[in-house]
Amino acid sequence: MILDAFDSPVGAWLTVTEPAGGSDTIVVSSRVRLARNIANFPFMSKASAAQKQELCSLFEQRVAKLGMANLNFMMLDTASAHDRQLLLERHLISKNLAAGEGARGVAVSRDETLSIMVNEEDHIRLQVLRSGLKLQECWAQADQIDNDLQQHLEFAFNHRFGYLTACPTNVGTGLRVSVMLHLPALKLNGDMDKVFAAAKDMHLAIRGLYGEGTEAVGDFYQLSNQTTLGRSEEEIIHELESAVLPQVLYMEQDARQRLLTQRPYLLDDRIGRALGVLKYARVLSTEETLFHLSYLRLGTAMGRISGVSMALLNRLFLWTQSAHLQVEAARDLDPEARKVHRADVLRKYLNL
Amino acid sequence: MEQCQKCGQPATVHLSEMVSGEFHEIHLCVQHAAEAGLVTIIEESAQMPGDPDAEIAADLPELTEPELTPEDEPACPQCGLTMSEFKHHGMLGCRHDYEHFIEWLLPVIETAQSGQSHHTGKLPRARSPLELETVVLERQQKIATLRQQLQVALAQEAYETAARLRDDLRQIESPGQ
Repeated sequence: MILDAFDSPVGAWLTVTEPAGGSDTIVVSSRVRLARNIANFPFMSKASAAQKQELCSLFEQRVAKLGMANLNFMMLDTASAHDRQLLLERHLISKNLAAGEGARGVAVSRDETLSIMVNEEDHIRLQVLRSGLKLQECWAQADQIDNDLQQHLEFAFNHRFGYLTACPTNVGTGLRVSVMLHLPALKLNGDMDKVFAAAKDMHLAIRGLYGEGTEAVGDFYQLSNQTTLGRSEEEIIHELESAVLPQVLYMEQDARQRLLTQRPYLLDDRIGRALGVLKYARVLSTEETLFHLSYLRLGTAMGRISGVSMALLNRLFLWTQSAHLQVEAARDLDPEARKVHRADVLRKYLNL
Repeated sequence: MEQCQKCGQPATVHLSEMVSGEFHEIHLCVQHAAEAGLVTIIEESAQMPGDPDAEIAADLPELTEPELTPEDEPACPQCGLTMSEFKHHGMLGCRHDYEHFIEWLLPVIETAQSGQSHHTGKLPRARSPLELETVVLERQQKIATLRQQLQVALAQEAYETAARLRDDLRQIESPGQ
């Protein structure tokens, strides 16, 4: 059972101390990712099956030297599709790695704040996750682990372009910093265009919950740096934290206030309908669930409903996804059975 | 003027690369550079007659984008990647592609990276025999940063700052003087 490799039902980066209505109800989590390639191997697109296998063994052997007792390495090509889906739903691996081919793996810490993917688009993709706005803390840990890895592995680097990556969009620092934002009021007021425009002006990217190439689900967005070359890691982090983020946070808070003062009935209607559907529906798709859970989260953050904690909501966001539902049910469920079981789980937890 | 290392003719293609912490300078004439796959010579018949831009381009073969045909398209000697392959799926095949295809990649990188083309971030951790390499890298990095600041200063017409940066650059580029 793959979940035995973790400490708790919800990763530490998703656990919350009850927020008092500050920006932490908007910034769900922070993430820092470093892309690295091992110097004397071809990049993934030119690596043979044997080289991919060798990269996994080499990484597993070298990462063991870090002496991090709480870090577990697992091969993904031999893992079941169900286990890969579980790791994906917990944000510990990317879609690319879950669906990929050939030898590949991931090292994950028991508290799920660190994951190191092997043979993703680059040989090594190291990511550090934290709950709330903690980019500096994420970077400090990622930097340290990168240093530790460099004691045992030589990474592809050149004096002009920095750390060399398979795709030139990651070259240089190999650093992607992102914050996951919950922006339901901006979405409700139809002001997301302004956020997209502000991000674009500052060369930042904004995408839906699961990152590259997907629609925003449940009003969760990921704001990240677009470019990785020509600025130091600290500058990249500083720019994201100071250039656009405060503006987006202000816009969402302002949108929430405007809803409250101008159209409180609309706000409470959305929250009430969400609660009604989630408490009484018998068949629920993932999309419909995320749509309504988003309003419950907004209602809780704004103090419009009581009895539904942020911790419970975070748990529901995770445990209503398909692989987690099947763990909860302790059996395989076909798509229709999943929708029924999803409604059962929600009714059970929201039985206020 | 540098001479071609193969035939002694005046060299028009100059490359510097770093191997195991040491800089190597390579100077080649157009013919030998073409043989090494570094440039492609565009046949005169392909040019518009009397077009001055084309003549300038013919004088500067290393600045001209060669025409790519599947048969004679250069491939990376290490991983076999060709630029058509790269254009097709957007992934490079090995670290050497960054040196081998620099002419093609530089505009791609600058477009993807908002005009930037020099790393100014974290350097590889120095391991004792390679400390010298790090010193060289740090110097390179400092030069890159200064050049970048100089460009910004010039663009903003901050000439006093620009003058100071230029002095700094001169000093770091020729430390003996």
